[in-house]
Amino acid sequence: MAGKFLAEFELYVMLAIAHLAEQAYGAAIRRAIEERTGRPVSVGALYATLSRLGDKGLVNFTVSEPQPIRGGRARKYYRLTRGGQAALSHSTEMLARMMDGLRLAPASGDGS
Amino acid sequence: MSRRCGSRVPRFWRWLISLLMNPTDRDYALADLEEDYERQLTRAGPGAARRWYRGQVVRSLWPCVRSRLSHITAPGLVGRTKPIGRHRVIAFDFVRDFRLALRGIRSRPGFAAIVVLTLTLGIGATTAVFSVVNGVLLNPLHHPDADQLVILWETDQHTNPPGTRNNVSPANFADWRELNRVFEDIAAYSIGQATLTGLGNPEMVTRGWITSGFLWLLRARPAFGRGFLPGEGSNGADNVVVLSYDFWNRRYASDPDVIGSTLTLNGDSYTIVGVLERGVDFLARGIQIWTPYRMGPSDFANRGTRSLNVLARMKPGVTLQQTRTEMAAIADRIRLEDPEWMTGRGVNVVPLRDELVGRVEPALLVLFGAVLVVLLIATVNVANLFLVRATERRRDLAVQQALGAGRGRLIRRSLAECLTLSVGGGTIGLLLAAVGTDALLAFAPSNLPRIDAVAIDARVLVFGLVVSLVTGCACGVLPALQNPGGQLNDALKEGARTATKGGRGQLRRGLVVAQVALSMILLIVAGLLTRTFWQLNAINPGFSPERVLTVKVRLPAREYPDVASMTTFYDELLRAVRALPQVNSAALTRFLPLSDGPWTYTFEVEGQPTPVLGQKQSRAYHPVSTDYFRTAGITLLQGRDFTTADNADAVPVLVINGAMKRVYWPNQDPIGQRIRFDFDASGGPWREIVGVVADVHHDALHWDPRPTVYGPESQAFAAIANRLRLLVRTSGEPLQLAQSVRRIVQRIDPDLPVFDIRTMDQIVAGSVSQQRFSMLLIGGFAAAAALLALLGVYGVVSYAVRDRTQELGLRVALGAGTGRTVRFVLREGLTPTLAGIAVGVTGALLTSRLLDSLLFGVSSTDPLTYAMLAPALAVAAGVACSVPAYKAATVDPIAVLRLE
Repeated sequence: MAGKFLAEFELYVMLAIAHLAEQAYGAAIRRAIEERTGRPVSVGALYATLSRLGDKGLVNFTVSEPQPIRGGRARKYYRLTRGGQAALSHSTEMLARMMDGLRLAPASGDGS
Repeated sequence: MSRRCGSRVPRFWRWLISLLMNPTDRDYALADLEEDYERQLTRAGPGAARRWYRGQVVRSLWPCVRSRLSHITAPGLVGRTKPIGRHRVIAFDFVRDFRLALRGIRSRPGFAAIVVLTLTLGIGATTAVFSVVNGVLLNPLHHPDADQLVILWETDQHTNPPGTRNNVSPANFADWRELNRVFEDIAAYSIGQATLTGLGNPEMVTRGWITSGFLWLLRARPAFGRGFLPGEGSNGADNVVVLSYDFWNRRYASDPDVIGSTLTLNGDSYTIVGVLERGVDFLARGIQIWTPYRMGPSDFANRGTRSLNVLARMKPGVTLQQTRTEMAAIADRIRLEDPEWMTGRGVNVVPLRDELVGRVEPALLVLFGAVLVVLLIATVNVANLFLVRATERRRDLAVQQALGAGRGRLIRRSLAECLTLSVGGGTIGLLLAAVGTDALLAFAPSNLPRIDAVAIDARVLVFGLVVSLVTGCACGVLPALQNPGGQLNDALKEGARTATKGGRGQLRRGLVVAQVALSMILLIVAGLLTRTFWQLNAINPGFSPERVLTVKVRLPAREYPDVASMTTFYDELLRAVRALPQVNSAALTRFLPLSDGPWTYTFEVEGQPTPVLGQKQSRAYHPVSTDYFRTAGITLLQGRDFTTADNADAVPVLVINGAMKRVYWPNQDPIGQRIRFDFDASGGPWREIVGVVADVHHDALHWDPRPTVYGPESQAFAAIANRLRLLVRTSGEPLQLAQSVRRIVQRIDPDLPVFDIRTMDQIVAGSVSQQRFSMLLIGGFAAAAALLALLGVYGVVSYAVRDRTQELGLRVALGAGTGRTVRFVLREGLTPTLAGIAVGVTGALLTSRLLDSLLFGVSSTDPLTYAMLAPALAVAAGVACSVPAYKAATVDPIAVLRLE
């Protein structure tokens, strides 16, 4: 698994899950990526990616009890699997190696 | 995730995303969206939150679709370990066809884009119009068993053609109720406005006066409290009122203790006895307050006081036809008993649905027909595109067939491709329809009823889906049927020409004929509607609407019990308004042209024979103030205008219009003649005619002016003079005066609301808004249809040119001149065009009679319209052919022959 590269958005999602630790459910992941990258993220894209990462065995999830408020719903909390952690550190390391010794012009705003 | 009232997530978009999300994630994604929606709501307000939600859904569409597709195909890609059933094989085949279709689409994005765009516009426009038709015409009325509800009118053969709708006299109402055996019950109602005071700002509310059985007929129950009791309809009973749910919600903040408290309507105190269930309304009028209809013995004095509107509910199983027969028999019976008032009068039974939407139905159906034609033409264009492509891929397909692909297989693949594109186009079209419906309603005529019932509901969605699928199949089947069968060898031969021999070329030309014919019909319809609109605008309304402001005031009976007190108020109002800067003149009238229907009264003319029994005629009577004719711009033809000397103590005077003169004094001078109106049972004084004014198109621009009598407001009676409209003619922008006028009214009487502030120009424009709506929309559709048809012509011709480049090159090489080449190309394009125009003109001649009710001043076979549009389309087609013709004329024979 560690031999495969992660796509850019997959990488963001996995990094957001890593950041959020125990609190990584859909809306929180979406907001974390939006806040850090400034790029709008749609729920559709997020869940499609989470489902793909799940198929690849890089993330898994637990379903919580319904939220203790009126109309509260259950949440899916995601976390990285062992393979996911390996893939993440592999990808970031590859990225760091590729960046090594490179000076890039600052990104021009939208981050893409 | 609590729900706040009025800030719920947009239902359509929520439904859409829940449809598309992977079922395993659906609930979680919806919860996420709702959580963030709440955040947006508190941070940026409901509008921004809805936009945010919509944006989320739109951007989620493609990822969701892609994700689901990849899940569907997953089992086909991994190794199978157990045998699978036949239906699963078919499913895999379908998935494979679908993936191949996607691959085909991706390989030619330009082609796919044109197809999807064409279908998006076609399906989107059709669905948007359908959503209006669905909301206005198809959705049942809100009332339970509304099919059984009918409105009863009187008809009058003397002044109106049968089938018109006159109010009903209380005596007839009582007799109908007594004698009929077809109705569960009948009830009377009247809808009007009332001034509400004592709850903050004075406000005009819409009020329904109803007899006690009315709510039961509607099957409307009180949410709490009670409805009206039978005794509450008689004069002298306590003043009671029932509130509508929305009004109670808005003005009383849903206070359940409201029962027993009082409110003030037109200065009278009313006790609230009940609140109706949510959504109870009648004829989409937005009734806020219901009060009992009061009738006393004097109302039943004769059958000439026609003041009631009547609702009835047919017994279960009774048909409209039975009801009409029964009511006609009852009318005959009453006529025998009371010939003086009832000769020539009958009953008109109108289903409630027709009463509400009957007038807009023809226009909406024509609109829907027009948009279907556009969709049909778009479909034909797409089918044509596929035909061309099928021709280009002949060898490709032949190879596949040679390798063993069955005919069914090829058809299926072609279908899969079309369906994918059409469902794609349909989905985007549906989003377009959601936006387009709002745009459509934004400039819909003001009299379009039930606008609130227009929405993208399940029926509209199903319609959109069916249209997409049918369109897809229609596009796909044609080229698939044309797939090479016998000509397999030809197709495979190297260098074989894809000559337009036989079937395919014929089929394509046939399609072009159909397109041109349909767009010709639509153009003619649009042309006729445009001429109608011009004719309407060319009518001299009889008054001049430029720079005139109108506002309405209504004087409550308590503070203004008689005409004298009203006149004092009106005089002061006019004096103050006339003193405003920029005001040229100001006046009052009870019935404004093109807005208020006048009240009519029976009358007699001095010196003319006593009317034959039953022929006592009624004419419109308008109370107006001094200076009315000058302010409204109505020409005085003869005699004099009213002056301040024509007050309550002076000799009663009248001014008549030209139509009145022509009927009663055709060869005589009417000045000095006298008329007596039956304003009440005791009759009234003789009134002397002092002037004649020009006719005004009062009821509608396209209706002939009716005989009309004007009298000074100071000589009228309280029930008619208590609510007048103020007209102010100014040299500036009329609406800027509204504030000053409002201040003047409030200074004279702080409790009076000023309402219905409009300019006369707006009123005139509003009176033709339905015609403008039809003209603009059908004009737009006709233009789209013509454009698509011309694209079709262009496609056929340029294909023919490309197909025969070699032949053309050879001809040029052999000495054919440019003229001959161009003629050949033009013939290729113009033959089907002219055939299409001929078919279209014939079709229009045969069908345009259906438009008669929408046309005015122009016949449905108007030669000018036909004579202008048919050549115009032919010329446009010629222009469309000119590009390929130029290409053909400049073919380089050497280059072409070298290809050989």
